[in-house]
Amino acid sequence: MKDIQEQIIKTAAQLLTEAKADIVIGFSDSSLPMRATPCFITNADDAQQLVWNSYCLNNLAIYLPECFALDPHVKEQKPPPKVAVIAKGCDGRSAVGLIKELQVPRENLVIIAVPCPGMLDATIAQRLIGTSEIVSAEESGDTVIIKDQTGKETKFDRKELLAEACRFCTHRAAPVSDMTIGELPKGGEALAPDERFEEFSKKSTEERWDQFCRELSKCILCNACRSACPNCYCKVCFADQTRPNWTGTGGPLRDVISFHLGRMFHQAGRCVDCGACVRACPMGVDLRTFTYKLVKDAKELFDYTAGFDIERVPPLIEFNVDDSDNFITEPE
Amino acid sequence: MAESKIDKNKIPELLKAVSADYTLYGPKDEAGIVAMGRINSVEELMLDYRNSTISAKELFLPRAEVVYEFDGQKFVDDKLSDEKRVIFGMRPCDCRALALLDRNFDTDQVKDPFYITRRQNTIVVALACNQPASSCFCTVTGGDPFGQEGADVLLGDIGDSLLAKAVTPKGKDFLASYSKFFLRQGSGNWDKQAKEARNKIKTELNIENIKSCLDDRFENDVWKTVSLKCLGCGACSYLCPTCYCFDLVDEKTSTGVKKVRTWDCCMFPLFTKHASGHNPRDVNSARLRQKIMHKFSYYMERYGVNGCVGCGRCVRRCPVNLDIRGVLEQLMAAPNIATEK
Amino acid sequence: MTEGNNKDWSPRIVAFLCNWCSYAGADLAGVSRMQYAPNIRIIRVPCSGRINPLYILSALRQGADGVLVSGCHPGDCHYISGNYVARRKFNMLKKFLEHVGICPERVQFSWVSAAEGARFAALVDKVAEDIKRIGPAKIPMVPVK
Repeated sequence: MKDIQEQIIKTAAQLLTEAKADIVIGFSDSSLPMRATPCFITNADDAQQLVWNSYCLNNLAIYLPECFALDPHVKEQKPPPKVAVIAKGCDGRSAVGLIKELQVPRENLVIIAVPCPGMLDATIAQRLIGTSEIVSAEESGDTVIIKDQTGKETKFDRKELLAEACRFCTHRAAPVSDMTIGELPKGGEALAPDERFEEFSKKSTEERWDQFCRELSKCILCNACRSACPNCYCKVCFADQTRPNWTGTGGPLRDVISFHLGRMFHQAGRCVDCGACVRACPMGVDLRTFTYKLVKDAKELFDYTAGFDIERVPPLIEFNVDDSDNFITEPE
Repeated sequence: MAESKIDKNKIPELLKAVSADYTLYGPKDEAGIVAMGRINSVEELMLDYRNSTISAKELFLPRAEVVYEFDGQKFVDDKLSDEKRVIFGMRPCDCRALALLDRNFDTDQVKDPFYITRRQNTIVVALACNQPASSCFCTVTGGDPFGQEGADVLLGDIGDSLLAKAVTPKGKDFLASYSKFFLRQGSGNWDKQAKEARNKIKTELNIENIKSCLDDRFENDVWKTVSLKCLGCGACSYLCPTCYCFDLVDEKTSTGVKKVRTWDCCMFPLFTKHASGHNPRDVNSARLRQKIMHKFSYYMERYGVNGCVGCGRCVRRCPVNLDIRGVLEQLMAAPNIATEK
Repeated sequence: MTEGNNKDWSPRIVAFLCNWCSYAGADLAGVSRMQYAPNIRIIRVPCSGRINPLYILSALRQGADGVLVSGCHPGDCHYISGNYVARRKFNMLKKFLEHVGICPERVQFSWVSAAEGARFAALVDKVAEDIKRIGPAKIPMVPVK
């Protein structure tokens, strides 16, 4: 990964020097072990800050619409900037979605596709280690050695520490790119089987409802899931509307449920399953068990996987005369 | 204050006795999240925890509470809860946060009956912190891993037993009524332990002049830089033990209306949006500025202390690792030139 | 709205009907003096394509025991393709709500034309019957801790 990091730095510096980009969005070192943090490079000299490692978890596409947003405080708007983004598979697919939904102008975007090995989640690692705090982690091949506060070193297989969404990701390369760094892994639109999801789907209606309510009762309505989702770019979220008020006060659980059902269903046919919402949640609500249904149904019903084909119209704004009618209630 | 100690083996007995007289709250694992929850059986209590994922403020300021209810004919008399509670094992930073909240909800001008009643009905038994996390910075903001501000009783772990110290008269009465579980003893090795714990806090940051520094940089462009990666979610505020901002919302019931007080957060655009549609804090940088200024300038102005206890929750749980310590550093390092508008 | 089995309970069903077919179908059932379950509250919308999934969620949040949505038969939409687009949305919504544990009977979709008064009456009877069987909605009103 070190050589990819070198190339990222070189590419970023070059793009900025040649004025092919005004801003490069990538990752830099963070203040916590096993984490990287999004960073915005506007000066070629600062490109050295860019890093590429197994902790570049955030979906950077979240920042794209904001880069092109109009400044409410000036009359004469500046021309839209040229934005380069270091893109894993999920960042790339989210960017495709944003381009399709006209939130980001394609011509102003430089997608730098980098090979993603699947990212490691510090929260999962901490859970496996227990109460002793993680101090550092080192990777060699597929082994990760984690050192905790007591000085103990624990060996893990890389797979054990993968973020949940990365575990089931079959498309680790951006589908659309302007530049590529390293060798991009191959992948398709097929979805990987997910046992935990299947197990949930097989439960009875009551059991599913109980689990759903149990998960959502952890929610504190901090909106981190919404804020971290690249698809949640609405100027005014339905949950923030006051006339009508769709989600009540947020006091009773039913209000929390209606917020999440509304937000999740808004991702129908758009969710790229990047897992940003799950990782952003400070309370560890398992949203993916529910959102993955939408990803799966979009594939099964309309053979559509979000964020792949930049030309294809999203499934819920087109139709086919022969679409399935099998959910319709017949009175007799 | 008198000091005593309790053998760790005796703690379950003590807690059983306490839960016969009070409702017991304490750190417990709820599906991977450590929260200050209701302890129904002593085994649930988890005393080897670092700190709870979410602070204990919800025990004093619930996420949503009915302020009053009108059933269409008359006001429904909703008595304040008189539940007597003991919170066992709260960390000193969170206790100090209660002392900060007191400054806001229990003042000469304003007395919040909901908060004050809960506060009066609660005995806070703090557990000093021997293993601060790398993200902790209580000593920077004026706290201490062995601090006792806001607590009624302070416990300190010395291996096979816990030292106990009454901090308030309420705490003294509490210890006295359960004295059969405790052994009298003189001053233990508090000081040594406290010093060791203090030395474990590695955050080096001097925020002595933070107020004047922030005030000078109110119009500085540095706010735009530091807020670039902020997603504008409320995770930091909702986990924070001292963030207390709330909203009052009307909710229709089948016959009347309820006024509900809910948590709110200055990072949300809706927080300042006027009925006219105008929003004075319409960009993320202005909202982040408000959050930082409230903690480190306005709080200082009104109450003479920082509004941050350095528990590090926002550092640990920020989805993008926007580390408040780094933000303060960046702000202090920014040149003191008010940007021309 | 309340949990548990109350003897006097009878379901409250919110019905979203499109103006051009299903609402006219309901009207026909009425003027033809057809008998059907009195449990529905009709909300008229211009087209089934107008139905925002939030309407359905909002009805459930506010205590509806069931939701019925009906529009023109595919191919007969007054706006040519409104119900085709709605059909995809409804299909995904129905499967999604079922996935999180909301009974499939709770939210139902159908097509009723302006000429199908009898079909409308039978539909309402069926939906009301279904919801009586599964009982009151269990959207928890309890405050979160």
